[in-house]
Amino acid sequence: MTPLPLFGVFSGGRSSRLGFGMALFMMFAWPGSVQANYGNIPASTHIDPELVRIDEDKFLGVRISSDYILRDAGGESFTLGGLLGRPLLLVLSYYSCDGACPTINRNLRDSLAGVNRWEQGRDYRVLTLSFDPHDTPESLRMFMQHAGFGTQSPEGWSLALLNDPADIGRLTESLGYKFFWSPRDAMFLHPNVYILLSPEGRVTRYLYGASINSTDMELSITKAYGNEISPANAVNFLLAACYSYNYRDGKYSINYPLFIALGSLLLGISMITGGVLVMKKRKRREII
Amino acid sequence: MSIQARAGSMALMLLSLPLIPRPAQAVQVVPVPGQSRQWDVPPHVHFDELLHEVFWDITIIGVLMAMVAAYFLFAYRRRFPDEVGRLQKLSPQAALGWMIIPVALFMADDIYLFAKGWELHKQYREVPENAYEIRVTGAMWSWTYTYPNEVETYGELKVPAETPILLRMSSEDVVHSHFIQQYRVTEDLMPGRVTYMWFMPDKVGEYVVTCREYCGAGHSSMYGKVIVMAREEFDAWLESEAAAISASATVASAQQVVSPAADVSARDFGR
Amino acid sequence: MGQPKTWKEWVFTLDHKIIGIFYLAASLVSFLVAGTSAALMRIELGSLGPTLTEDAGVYNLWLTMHGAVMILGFQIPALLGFFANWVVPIMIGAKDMAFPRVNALSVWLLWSGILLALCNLIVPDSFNGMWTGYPPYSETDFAGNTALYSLIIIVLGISSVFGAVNLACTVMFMRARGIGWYQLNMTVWCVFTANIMQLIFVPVLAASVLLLSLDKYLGFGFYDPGQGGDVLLYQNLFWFYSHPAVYVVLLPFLGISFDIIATFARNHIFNYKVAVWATLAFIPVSSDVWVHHAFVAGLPNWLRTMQTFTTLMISLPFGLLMLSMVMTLYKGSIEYRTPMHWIVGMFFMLIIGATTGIPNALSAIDYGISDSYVIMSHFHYVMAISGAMAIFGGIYYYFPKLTGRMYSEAMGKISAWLFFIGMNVVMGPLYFIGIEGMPRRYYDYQMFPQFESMHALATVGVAITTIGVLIMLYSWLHGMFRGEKATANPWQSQSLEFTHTDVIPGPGNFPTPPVMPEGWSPYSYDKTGAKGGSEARR
Repeated sequence: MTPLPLFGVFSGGRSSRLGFGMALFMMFAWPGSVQANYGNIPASTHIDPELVRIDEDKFLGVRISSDYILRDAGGESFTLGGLLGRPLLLVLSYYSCDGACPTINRNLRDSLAGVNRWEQGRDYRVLTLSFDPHDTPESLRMFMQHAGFGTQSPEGWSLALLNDPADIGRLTESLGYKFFWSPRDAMFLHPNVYILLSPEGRVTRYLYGASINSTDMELSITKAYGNEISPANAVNFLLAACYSYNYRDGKYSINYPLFIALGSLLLGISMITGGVLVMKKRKRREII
Repeated sequence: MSIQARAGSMALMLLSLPLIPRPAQAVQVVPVPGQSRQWDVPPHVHFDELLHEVFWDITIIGVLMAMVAAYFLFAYRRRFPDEVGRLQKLSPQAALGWMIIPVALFMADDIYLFAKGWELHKQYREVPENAYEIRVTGAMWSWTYTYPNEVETYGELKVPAETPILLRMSSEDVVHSHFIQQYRVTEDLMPGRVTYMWFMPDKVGEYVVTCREYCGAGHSSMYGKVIVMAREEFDAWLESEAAAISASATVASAQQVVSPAADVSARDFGR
Repeated sequence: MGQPKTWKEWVFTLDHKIIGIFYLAASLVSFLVAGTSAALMRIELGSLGPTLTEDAGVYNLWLTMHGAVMILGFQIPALLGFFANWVVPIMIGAKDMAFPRVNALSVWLLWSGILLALCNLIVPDSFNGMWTGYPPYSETDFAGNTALYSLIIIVLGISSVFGAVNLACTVMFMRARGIGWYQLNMTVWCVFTANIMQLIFVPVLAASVLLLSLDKYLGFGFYDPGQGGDVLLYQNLFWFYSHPAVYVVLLPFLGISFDIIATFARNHIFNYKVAVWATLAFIPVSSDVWVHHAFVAGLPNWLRTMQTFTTLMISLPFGLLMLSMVMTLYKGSIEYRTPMHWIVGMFFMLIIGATTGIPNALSAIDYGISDSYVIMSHFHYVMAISGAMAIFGGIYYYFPKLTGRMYSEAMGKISAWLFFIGMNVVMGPLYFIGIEGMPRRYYDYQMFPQFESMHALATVGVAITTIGVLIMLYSWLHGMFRGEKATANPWQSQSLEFTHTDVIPGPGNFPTPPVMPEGWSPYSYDKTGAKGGSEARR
């Protein structure tokens, strides 16, 4: 799993099964056979991490209802629907967590800092939401300290609680998000996942936290715009077209066939150029 | 002259270069929210109206062209062996006119049809806000319909009448295509992507569903039906199905992980 | 007359005319194979339930063979192989193609491809993924031997790319003195344009099909979403070639039809320069319309809207060509010989095919008729039947130049009208049950028993067509051996291949290299009258 230096996009390693063919694709950095890391299951337990894996086939494209009422650290309430209208990055955490949750929020902040194409707040929003009914605005403030946000959440990033704890089940079930309290570890076991919602509130992508970098974030936000991307904003369009999501690795990878097809298009055109050049040479020789 | 022509053809070739495959498939497809526009008729009725109109359009074009050709073929038969055609050479102005006027006519018809088609396209693709969402999974060679309360049916899509139905579709194996004959709507299902279609079941009845994308030996036996029921009947059916499921699932659910099961001990689901 | 004597001379010939005949032979063999599989399919569908076979897989094999062999084995080799090789160099006054060795390579690659395609009938795991070969189906074991499919497409692809380079260079550089760009036959323009399109688009097809096999056998996952691939990308790449491929077939047969009409109406092409530019306009226009093959494939809505519009724009150049074709008859002096009968049939078929294309261009209409018999019927009218009628008309047209003898006019005309009527009886009923919902590529239609009578009618149509084709083949065989001797210019055409060659053009094509006078045109009937014929050599 050595990251290839050619493109920062991948942390792909080289798969050994295609010794010779590999050389051909080195320039594109072949995506490695990294398995996505699905949850924060400590090595000490004997729980299969697959247990918290989201059944993506079933939940991609699901539309979440926008009527949830949320409360932020200051106790002010707002609706989830108010955050939509542009892509929303949803992170589910619990605020008494001292392990993975602050980390994934911090990591998210770091990787979003590297997203230059989209501006947080203007082009997309982030929402951290607790799934622990025991959480309160106090525990949220503690959590913000803990995660390094200080007292003020970043621009375009809301950290909040569900106003009605009964909504927790409704929301997580509609997203296919599973979590359990493990008394032995004295912690919640849950998937480390960032959920991308389209401007209409439909799930467009689940990104598993461990190995997500800025480029993945940028691409997933771009693709969350979905139908709104058009050739009019050509760069975004091309960017979205050149990458496709890799379910095995949980990351985006280059859409190779596109480039191979482009190459062959050039091949055809260069053949006609070659033919014309040969004929020109021949004609000149005949004249001399 | 020939240099100009050569330059012209080269320019045309160059112009076609930027038209590389538009790989817009990479863009994630998600349903567009219904807009405020209300349609008087459901899409399949609108479809029949448009199809009818387009058929008139093409029949007129085709019959006109065929009649002109048939007249020429008849009127200008060779009368004596050495006769030659007497078609006048066009002046440059006339040649231009014979290009611009037909192009303008075709263009006008194209734009008219495009506008008509776009209207219906929008109706097909803009899902009403109050649509009832059902998940469709295609597999070789059957359809599975999953209702919001996890009730599943196979090959039979039961829907309430007078309610827009949104189908959110994906495939487990190869590309399939879900076609409902009555509602004139088709959309492909494929692995790794989510597609959608919606339709308005306006009358109670049973209608044919078939697969419309070649998917192997069982392609032609991959058919089922849409059963449109009265709203009350549908609700009763769905409830009884759900009750049957929960009855049979109570035993299993003790071991099953149900979220949010806040206090389940780790060993209960350890393997 | 300089025909090769020994088998070695035949096999290693570099003469474009002999190579053209090899192409013709290949395409006729393909036509018979693919036509037989069509007849088998129609008999199978003639009644509900299993008729000829109980195994849907066998039916799917026939269907795959019919599509792939008709397009890649019959139409493209006949048009871009036979007509492009045999006719075009003579029309422009060249003594051979620009690269005769490359030409020989292309034809033998074509034959290898066709033999490989015939192998698909024999191998135990024959490929049944249709000529489109969509993944993921074609990457599953159900689809059979995907490697064979990739290999066939790639071999045929290389063959046509070589052929295309060759022909483009021939037209650009080998024209006789006095023949400028605007003095070329429409056939030359159309074949030239089609070959430029082949050059641009075929490599894309070959590459995308190669990736199928890499996926299936080496586990690359180019089209596997599980490994970061995309299922839909193949459909886009495939149709990026295969829609232009329709024009690769359409344009050459329109070109031949133009020439036949001009010859038999003794007229020049109406609005020639506009027709030429309309032909060239197909290159850019056709490169941006492929999404109409995937209107229901889950592509973004704006793309469907955009490509609905670009697809409708095809009607502009196409309409201009049709207009030129009709108006070439105006004030003509039309003689009804067999080739003209075929072309008149072709013209009416083309009108049906073209107009039924308009509803298909609208994405909204496509939601109701996608992948139904409407589509099937439309492309048979616009490409398969019209194309075949123009090809057969063209073969009759050049029959005297190929064999030195005449065919029987009566048999030729009867076969043309049997073919015309037969194909209408096949495709007409199928169009209407298509609107009612009959899907394509179905081995059986248990869910639509009400369509049985129409299916049965279509099967009767195939019988009529078959009789027509058999009469046509017999008239060729009869003419080849028993026909009366032909003259060098039986139609009193003004085109070079008739006016300046022997009855059967020998090596080098022209007894003396032609130098055309100022203002010469292959359509200048009004100046010289019908006397052009008397100058021809006997």
